[in-house]
Amino acid sequence: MSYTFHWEVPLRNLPQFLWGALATLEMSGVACLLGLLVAVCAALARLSKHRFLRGAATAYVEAIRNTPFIVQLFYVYFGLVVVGVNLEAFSVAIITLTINCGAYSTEIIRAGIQSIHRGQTEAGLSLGMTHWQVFRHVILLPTLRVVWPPLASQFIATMLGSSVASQISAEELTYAGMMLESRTFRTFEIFFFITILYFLMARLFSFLFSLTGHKVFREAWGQL
Amino acid sequence: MLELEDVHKWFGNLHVLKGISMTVSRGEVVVVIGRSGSGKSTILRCINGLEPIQQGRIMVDGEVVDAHSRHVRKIREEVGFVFQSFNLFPYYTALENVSLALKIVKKMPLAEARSIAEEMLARVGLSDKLDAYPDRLSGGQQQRVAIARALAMNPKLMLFDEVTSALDPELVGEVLKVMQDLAEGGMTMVVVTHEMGFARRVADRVLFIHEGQIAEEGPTAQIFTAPRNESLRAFIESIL
Ligand SMILES: Nc1ncnc2c1ncn2[C@@H]1O[C@H](COP(=O)(O)OP(=O)(O)O)[C@@H](O)[C@H]1O
Ligand SMILES: [Mg+2]
Repeated sequence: MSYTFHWEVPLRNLPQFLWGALATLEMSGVACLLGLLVAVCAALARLSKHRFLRGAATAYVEAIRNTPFIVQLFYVYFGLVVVGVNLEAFSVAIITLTINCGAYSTEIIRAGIQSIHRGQTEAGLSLGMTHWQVFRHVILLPTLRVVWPPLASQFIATMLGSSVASQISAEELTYAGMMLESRTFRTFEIFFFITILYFLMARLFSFLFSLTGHKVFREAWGQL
Repeated sequence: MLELEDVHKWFGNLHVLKGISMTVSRGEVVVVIGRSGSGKSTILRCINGLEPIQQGRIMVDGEVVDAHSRHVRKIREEVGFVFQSFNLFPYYTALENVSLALKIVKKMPLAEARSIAEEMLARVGLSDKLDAYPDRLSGGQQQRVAIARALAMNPKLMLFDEVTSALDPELVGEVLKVMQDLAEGGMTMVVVTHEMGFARRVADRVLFIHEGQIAEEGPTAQIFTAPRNESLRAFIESIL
């Protein structure tokens, strides 16, 4: 049994891979940013004193964390069609990734906020801060600073998970690979390339995260 | 410096403060004692506008405290509050805890805020803990950071709410020492405490709160050696 590698296949189609990688970055980057917003709101809702808000946020988090992503993807994709909304697969992927990433990040952020008690809020007020300043400087920013590393892991997981969007033909890296594979049948060579690209993108995410973590939370707010 | 006139406070139907009137002059140290639930914390919280009052008037340095107005923030800047449970910001270092409000409330440049914070932490004996996070500090050290944080705002009046009650006995002394230094430096202070030794050494006057009213007040020695009020006598016996 001998297999002849045809590395020229992926190499010749390098532009397609790079285009796919950019699409993946765009899709998952947007979803992570939106997911972060969703997560901050949902975390606050989970900790709110209003029972309805708390219940809704808990239902959201539990529903997402206890079902497979691919099912969520189909659900949104076909669900939107059922209610008469026709979106491109790429947008559907962003929406579903946002919902998914938001739910996992909610738990991360909630755990962080929970270490801050009402007493600390009052301490802030007693120093003359406004409610907004307390929220921003005593609750939100320090919490994000502390949960930044686990959030980074979550966002990387979201980026890698976005490959599942190929299942609804959203055009991203895995989809580009699948298209090429169906024309050339060079499965191993193509997916070897894709693996490398995902790995590099994951490293890039990590790097961007530690960079923003330092910039945003240390230099702007800390004094070190 | 501080004036309460017939202050009433209800929590729902619960009448917690029933006509508190008191005056504290500049540089005076007043100790407030009383049983748990008598309303001591509530008095301090009303003075700082953390709780609104329903009747009466509170004045700090000639300005009315109204918990609902924006102006209350100005007053809070001038009134330091130290809590029983420290309430340090958990994700900030000692230095950041002390300098945060200087930056965002007083809008000081970073370097200035930092140097004031260092000075305040030195004053409470914590120069070697600048970069420590609260969970790395003992209770006594945390409470001293909290005092430094309040002092950094350069307040005219300091409120202390049972600041040593949550501490292990061997750590109480270091906090009381800081407070005594502060009193000797001329700070106006209202101190809720059960530390009778501290009251004797430092207080100019003692107020005994009973069921939301000032049941007795007078010079420290008189309160402890010749209490007139029946409940005060029982209270003093119970804590000795
Ligand atoms: N936020 C609140 N809501 C309802 N009741 C309160 C609240 N805070 C304090 N109380 C009640 O007010 C009374 C006085 O409380 P407090 O001022 O904390 O007493 P002290 O500090 O003397 O122990 C107590 O009966 C307490 O249960
Ligand atoms: Mg109390």
